[in-house]
Amino acid sequence: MTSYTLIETMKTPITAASAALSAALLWCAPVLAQEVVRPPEKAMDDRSNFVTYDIRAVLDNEAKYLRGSETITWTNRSGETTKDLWFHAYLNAFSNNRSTHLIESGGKLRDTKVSNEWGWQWVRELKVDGESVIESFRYRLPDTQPSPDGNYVQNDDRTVFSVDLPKPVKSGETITIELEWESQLPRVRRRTGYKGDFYLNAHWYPKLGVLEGGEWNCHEFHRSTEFYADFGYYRVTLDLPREYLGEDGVLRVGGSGVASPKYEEKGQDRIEVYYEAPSQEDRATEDHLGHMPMIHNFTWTADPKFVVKEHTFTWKEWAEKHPEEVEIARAAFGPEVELELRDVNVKLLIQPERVEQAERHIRATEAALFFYGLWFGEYPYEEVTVIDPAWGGRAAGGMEYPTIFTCGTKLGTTPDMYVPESVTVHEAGHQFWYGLVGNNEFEAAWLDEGFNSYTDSEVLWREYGPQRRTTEYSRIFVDGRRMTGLPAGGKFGDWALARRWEIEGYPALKPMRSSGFLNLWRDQPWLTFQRAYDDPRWSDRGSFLRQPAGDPVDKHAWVYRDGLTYRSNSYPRPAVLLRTLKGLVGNDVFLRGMRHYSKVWRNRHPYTDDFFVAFQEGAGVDCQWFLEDAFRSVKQTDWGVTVSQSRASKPAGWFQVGNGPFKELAAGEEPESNTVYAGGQGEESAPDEGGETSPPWEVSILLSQKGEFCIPLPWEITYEDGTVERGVWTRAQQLKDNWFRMSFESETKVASVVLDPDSNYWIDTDMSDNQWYAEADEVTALRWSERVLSQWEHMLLWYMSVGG
Amino acid sequence: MSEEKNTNTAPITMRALNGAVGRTAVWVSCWLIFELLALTVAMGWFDWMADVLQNRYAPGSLLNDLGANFRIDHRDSMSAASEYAAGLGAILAFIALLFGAFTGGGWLQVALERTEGRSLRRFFGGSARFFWRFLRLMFIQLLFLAFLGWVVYEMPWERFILGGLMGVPDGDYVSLETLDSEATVRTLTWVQDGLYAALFALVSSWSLYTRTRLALHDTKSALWAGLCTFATIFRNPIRTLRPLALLFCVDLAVVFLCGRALSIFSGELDADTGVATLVVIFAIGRVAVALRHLTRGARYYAAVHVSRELVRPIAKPDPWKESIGGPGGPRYPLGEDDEFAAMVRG
Repeated sequence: MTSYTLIETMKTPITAASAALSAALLWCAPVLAQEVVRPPEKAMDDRSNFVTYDIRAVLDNEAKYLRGSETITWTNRSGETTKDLWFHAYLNAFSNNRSTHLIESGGKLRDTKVSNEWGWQWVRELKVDGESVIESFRYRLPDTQPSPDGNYVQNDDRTVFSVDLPKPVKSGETITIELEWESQLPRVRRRTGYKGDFYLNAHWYPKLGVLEGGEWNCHEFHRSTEFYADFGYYRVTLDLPREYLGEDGVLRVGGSGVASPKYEEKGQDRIEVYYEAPSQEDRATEDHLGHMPMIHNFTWTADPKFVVKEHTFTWKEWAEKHPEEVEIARAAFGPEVELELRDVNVKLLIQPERVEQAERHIRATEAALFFYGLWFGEYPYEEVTVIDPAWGGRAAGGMEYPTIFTCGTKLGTTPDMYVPESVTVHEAGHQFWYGLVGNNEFEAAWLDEGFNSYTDSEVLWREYGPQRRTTEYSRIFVDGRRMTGLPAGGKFGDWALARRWEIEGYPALKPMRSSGFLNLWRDQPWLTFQRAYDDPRWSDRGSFLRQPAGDPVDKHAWVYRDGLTYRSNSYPRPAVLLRTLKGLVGNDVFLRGMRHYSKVWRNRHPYTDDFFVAFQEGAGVDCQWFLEDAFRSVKQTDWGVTVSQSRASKPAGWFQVGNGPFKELAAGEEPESNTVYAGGQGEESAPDEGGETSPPWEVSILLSQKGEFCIPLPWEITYEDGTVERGVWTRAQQLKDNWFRMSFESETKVASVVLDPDSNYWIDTDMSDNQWYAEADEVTALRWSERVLSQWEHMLLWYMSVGG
Repeated sequence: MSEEKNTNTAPITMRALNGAVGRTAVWVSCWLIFELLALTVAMGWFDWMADVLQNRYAPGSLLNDLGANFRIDHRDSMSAASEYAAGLGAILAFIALLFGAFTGGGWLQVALERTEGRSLRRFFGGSARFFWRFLRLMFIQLLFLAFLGWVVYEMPWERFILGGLMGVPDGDYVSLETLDSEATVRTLTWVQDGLYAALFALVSSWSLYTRTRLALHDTKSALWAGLCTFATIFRNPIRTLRPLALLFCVDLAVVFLCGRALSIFSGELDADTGVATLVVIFAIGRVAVALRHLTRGARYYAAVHVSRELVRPIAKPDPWKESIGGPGGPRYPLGEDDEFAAMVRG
């Protein structure tokens, strides 16, 4: 009740006009609800319920206030009866600093301390099959542990609530739920809200949790994770100010699905926009994996400044651009699998100042549609909407929602910098990993973020090649990076170099302050920088190694040791492990396994075990040991190789022939039974030009392994005459001993020994000792030391010029 | 004689460059000293890199780009090497700061004198002669920069430009998210950084002319000389700043031409690259630094040329006014009891 009182006093900002308008709409929803829709697919587990949402909302742009109603039809397919309903009220994460989300993020949202422009959601009424159950409304804390004295410490999270059902709902039964709610939208600092007239409303309506085997899976809105909902259909009606309809008649609004029919004018200053997600046509069309398209969330955006660009993605265009990739996929999946993808309209809502980047956004989106579709099955919807958030709304950027996603970019970038390409491919990729395969992101974030990190790097590499590293000066990007850091020296350095003169109690003076253009002239990047390029796939490894062993991958997203461990285990580490899995089983087998998983779990909610089973089923291999070690342990590996080789010494001393007496060998004399001179294959060594026989090379190669993660390791020896010898250090051998020695004699000197010569394994924590070359690198150190020399010459010149 | 005349009528920038080039021993010495200083950092880096490379990488495979895996596998030791370089570099930068104040006097000494030969000796003599005065001036210059930086980056900018003109609320001065567009923010950044860079250049020019004035007049007060110089620049902005701006353009040309050449040769590096390409890259890098030392010397020459035209000599009692002696020979003061004087006066 306390909260009701609070909210009553806060709901006043709504204007009279919009209140009247919304009042007319409220409770009309059941009348306007779409026809009863039958679940298009049978449940194949205990958690694939079916749901339809019919939402109507009125936006007061002045007050940043939403009033809405929704009608939900929900079919229980959990196999169990339920007596209550659990909902998410995500917006309440932004209502105060005692929400789970704000507590976990230290009161900050993307580095901004939240102190004003809060947002919240109040559910005014809730009916089930026409009967009000609002009296049983109560907030829940499913993830927050109570303190020992029984009180929740500080937490006043209101992002999950439940109501009791008038009567239990058995599995297979369908009920109708009607809600009436009001929302104060927050300034967008994370995910959702407004900035000026720009809106990104991602978590804006009360949404049902997922009933799993009779238990509700409905978590609080955590800092790092938020998605899990039933698949179904959405129909959304938005009542908006007319400014969101451009003078050219083009809507400056985007949403999940398609606007259909687009809009109606309501008087002089309002419009009503209709969305269906998926579109009626999509709902009636089976995708090429055999599923009827559905979605599990609805998000919308609006900004009168949006410039709208559209382009049709076609299979033909992209298949002609990457014919070799099509051939690889064809070889992996076989001729019976349909690879051709449907046409998709890519709609881009971009800020006017960035219009020149429009083509790049579209290209990145289409690259994702092509490669993800080629490997994991087609994107089954007729449209995808790409959003470039307004300046100041970047906190809404880089997020995925069904058939719509937000990007993030900067002015002055180029495609090889991967801005906005990287984030665009990633978020577009979430249409597959999260959108279509709807894993529980709360409890297994790696199944979407990790899979997507793996795939987006593969796409970026194929479409854009190496990523160029740059350094930014006054928002201008310069090619390359400094070799070493700037002059340091702590406080003394600050004093001596006049960067900061500070005496306690007095304001600090900063004679030599950092300033973009001056820094540019100081650094002389054209004369001193190293040009550097990254392979996004190896960059995944770099990110993973920042925190390689904090936790196992398979964990609930909010219970990792810390933020860095969560990030590593949800994004780059699974990517590295999946890439290693591909190296282990081979590309074709890997693709078959992944596609099978994608097909089986499309429109459903897989967990880690479901992936393990489906992958091995589709790949036709048993790699459970790898999957367990990789995703459910903190096992690491670090292979290494050391090599020594030298000419065998001339025979000297006493030698025995047969069982006869020992005889001392005279100088230059050959023993009668000479095995030392025999080559590796038991052949006699050839005499050299002088007629004397050169002793063979005695070679000792030691392979070693630190860590417990054992994978069959290929090795390759290359001899100076060009001969190549390959072998494998088996998993069984590694499990027995963490070293393996090869000692032999060779007529030819060993030129190199390389572990994992095809670079199939990405998990090695230190690859610097995975190869050995007989010829030492003499010039590379000189080459890069010259860069250091240049950097410091110009740096010192700069300081000298300040001195006089 | 005619050549000298032609030289004198040439633009100041050309005369300045000509004069600096003529002092080969000076700018080559400065350049070599800096090579040695920077070499101490580079040697540390070389040791580290030679140690991690050894036999672990295919020869030449990292010439063009160290590559993601090298950077990842050696992240910690590379970071340590970088920190070592930064720490040592801070000491060297401090030395460079002082060396700047020191060598400024040297350049002025050789620029003010018309004699030839023994440049290096007079250079270091001049450096020592003016050092403490120029050090005081450097301190004033840094205080001046601190004030200008405060104006451009702190309270005045925030209150009057961001708050007053742009309507940015307190608390959003860093991220500027309340502004309408990224383009607006970028423009503001360019204006702010550009303004500060221009002011920095002005202060540098002012300090150069102040040093020249101090040397010309051989006075002690850096503050008074600075105030006088400010007035001179204010009255003659084109005449004082144009030569320095042109020399900056020369510096810029050196940077871009050498940078372009480096880019071309660096782009060709691969495992098959011969040592010759590396030598060329090394040489271009050194030439660029040497030329920048040269243009620094030319700035002093330019300042001397301009100052001689604009700065009036101050009246000083001539201690040799009452003296006698031939050019180049000994001079004797004339006194009341001097026999020669008595004879001259009759």
